[in-house]
Amino acid sequence: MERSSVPPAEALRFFGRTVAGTTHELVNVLNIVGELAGLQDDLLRGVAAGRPLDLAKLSTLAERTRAQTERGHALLRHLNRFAHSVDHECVSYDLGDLFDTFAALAERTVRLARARLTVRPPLATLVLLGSPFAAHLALSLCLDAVLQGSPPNREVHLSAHPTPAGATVIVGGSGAWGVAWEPSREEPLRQALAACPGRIVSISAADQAPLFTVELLDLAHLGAEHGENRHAS
Amino acid sequence: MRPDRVLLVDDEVAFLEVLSERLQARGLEVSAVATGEEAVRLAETRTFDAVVLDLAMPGMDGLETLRRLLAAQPHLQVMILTGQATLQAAVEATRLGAVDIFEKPADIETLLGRIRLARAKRLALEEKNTEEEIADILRTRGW
Repeated sequence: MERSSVPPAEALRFFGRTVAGTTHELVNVLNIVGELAGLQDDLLRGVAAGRPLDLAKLSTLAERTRAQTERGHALLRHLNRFAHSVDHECVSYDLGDLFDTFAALAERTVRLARARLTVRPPLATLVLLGSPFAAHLALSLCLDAVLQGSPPNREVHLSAHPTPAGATVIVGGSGAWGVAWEPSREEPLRQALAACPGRIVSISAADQAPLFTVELLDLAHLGAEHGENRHAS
Repeated sequence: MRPDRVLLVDDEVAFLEVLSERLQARGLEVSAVATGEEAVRLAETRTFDAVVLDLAMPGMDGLETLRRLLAAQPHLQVMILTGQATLQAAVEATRLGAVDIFEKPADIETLLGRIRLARAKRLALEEKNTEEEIADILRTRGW
């Protein structure tokens, strides 16, 4: 199996776009927390002016603030995990964890496309040896293609199941779609998959929603098959 | 005198809720919607003294919403309140007719002051428009 790296310009563009989208979400979280603090301040000014303290409202404010800080922490945790995905071109990673991070970081893109992403992670822990960053990029290219031309309120799904050589990942929508898949867009996906390593199994589009089936290969399995040494970080 | 009537448009629902509460606590009549399409629909049936509009939204974005709101109601006072204003978007919003651009977080008292000013400006524009229409009628009918 020939393995290559993601072209640096493509990698940097994807990294930047992911960080920018996630930091926009974090700014939203901070803005909400700021307004909640302002509302708390309003409440206290009312008390200072002689109105009774509304304990129920104060408790609700605390809950709402906590919910936003939890949202912010989750975003930061996923962003940090994504940032570390470039540390090694070959490392063991859990595909279920990668799906979690991918879905969390893609939330803004999906929302702006007015779609819903449903993730069906592998039923059992599925650890692959390869490049998690390239896997993120490959999933993102599939998702972008599915979201393009997606009618509002459509469901997009991401699922995986184990294969003897790694995992099959399916990214697709349902029903009629607005834009047909252009085969010229396959090249960036092929490059990302080559870096995973992985391969395109099929892309079905016609006039329906595009459906990507790709296989992420486990280098540990390939190494064993070819009598190579296994290595994991 | 009726309270100032403001329409808030932001896809971040948690933000919309808390800003609505803060403005209502200050005596404003607040309508809040999460999409540009809803904002345009609502503005077709109700009069607002000001619209506070986000730029980055799913579906109809802030600039398109601004364009459609002003096409329907040229005197509408629309202010942009955004967390991610690029210079280009700000210039475009101003060119389209936005009266103010605020970056989040905006000081609530400053925002309130601009909403009150917007109402006065809208009323003045409508009064001027009415005067011009009356003058036009008088002129064309030779009264």
